[in-house]
Amino acid sequence: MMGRPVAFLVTAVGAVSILFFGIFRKEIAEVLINGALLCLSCIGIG
Amino acid sequence: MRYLKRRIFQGLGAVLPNAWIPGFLSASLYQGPMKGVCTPLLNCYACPSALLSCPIGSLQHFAAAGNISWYAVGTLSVIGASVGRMTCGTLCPFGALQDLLYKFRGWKASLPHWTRYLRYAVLVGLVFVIPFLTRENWFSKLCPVGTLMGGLPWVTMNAGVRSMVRSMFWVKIAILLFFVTTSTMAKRPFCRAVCPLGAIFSLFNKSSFLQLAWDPDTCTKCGKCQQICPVDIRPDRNPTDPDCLRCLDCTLCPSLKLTTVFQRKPFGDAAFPVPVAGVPGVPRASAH
Repeated sequence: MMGRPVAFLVTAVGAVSILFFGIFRKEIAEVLINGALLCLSCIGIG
Repeated sequence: MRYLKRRIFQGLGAVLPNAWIPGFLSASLYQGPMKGVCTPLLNCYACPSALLSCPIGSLQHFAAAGNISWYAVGTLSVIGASVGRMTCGTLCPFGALQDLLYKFRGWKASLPHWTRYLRYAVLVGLVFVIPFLTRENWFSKLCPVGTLMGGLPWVTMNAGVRSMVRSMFWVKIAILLFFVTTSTMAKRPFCRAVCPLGAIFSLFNKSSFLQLAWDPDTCTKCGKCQQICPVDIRPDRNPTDPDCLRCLDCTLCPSLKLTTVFQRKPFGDAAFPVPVAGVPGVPRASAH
């Protein structure tokens, strides 16, 4: 049963690639700005 | 004290992502670089002491802007590929709260099997499609974790926020009370039926690096694993069940253990006869 190890390796490579693609697109800055603002929807007033 | 280690981890999962104590003292939000990191938990980033960002909030924010947050998707995928749903079982503070609420004595019920599919509908509908169409964060508007960790502290601490309370806030309070009440009757109703983060992680349970292994040779099918399971599943029937939180409570049983995806025979080679009670050549399966 080599299916699961292969599925894990494919998933892991895909996941790391997507993560680095997001970092390359400088999305961390947008996540940071979004997180640093008070989310009125979360509080229930927005 | 059987689950002490997990309780300690759940305590750390509640405290560490919310360790910005000055936020509560000064009624302000942490705005440093750590907010650029997505926590692998449903941890509200509107909480005054939140150090990290909520991954579902980030996904929604991008969806409402007509984009996909590859960074948040990648972060969750890396964690999911590593440990599956383990963060739900061992770190999530809202999961820990539901675990504790279920300990109240009283009438208990099982969730219908079909409710497990609702969380995928919540993920697609409330996190991606509806925010994309309406440009509003609809999961955040209804999220009971946001009410508990963001709404209640802010409304209590800040008169300005209190003056802005409208009917939506009371809808959120009602949703929170619903899940608090149902958690005393059913095991983790929010995690199993609603949580979009759990829906994402559950997609990785079958292929994650860490796996739950079951030994059919020693299992007596007594069903005690289901009794102690926080999500009411039978790990002996499907150790890679998408509902499994990898809390490892069931590994108290010697027939279940944590292993890795590369381990082909985690319980040893059962095909060879193993001596039992001094009788050489008797296979383990026949010992029962």
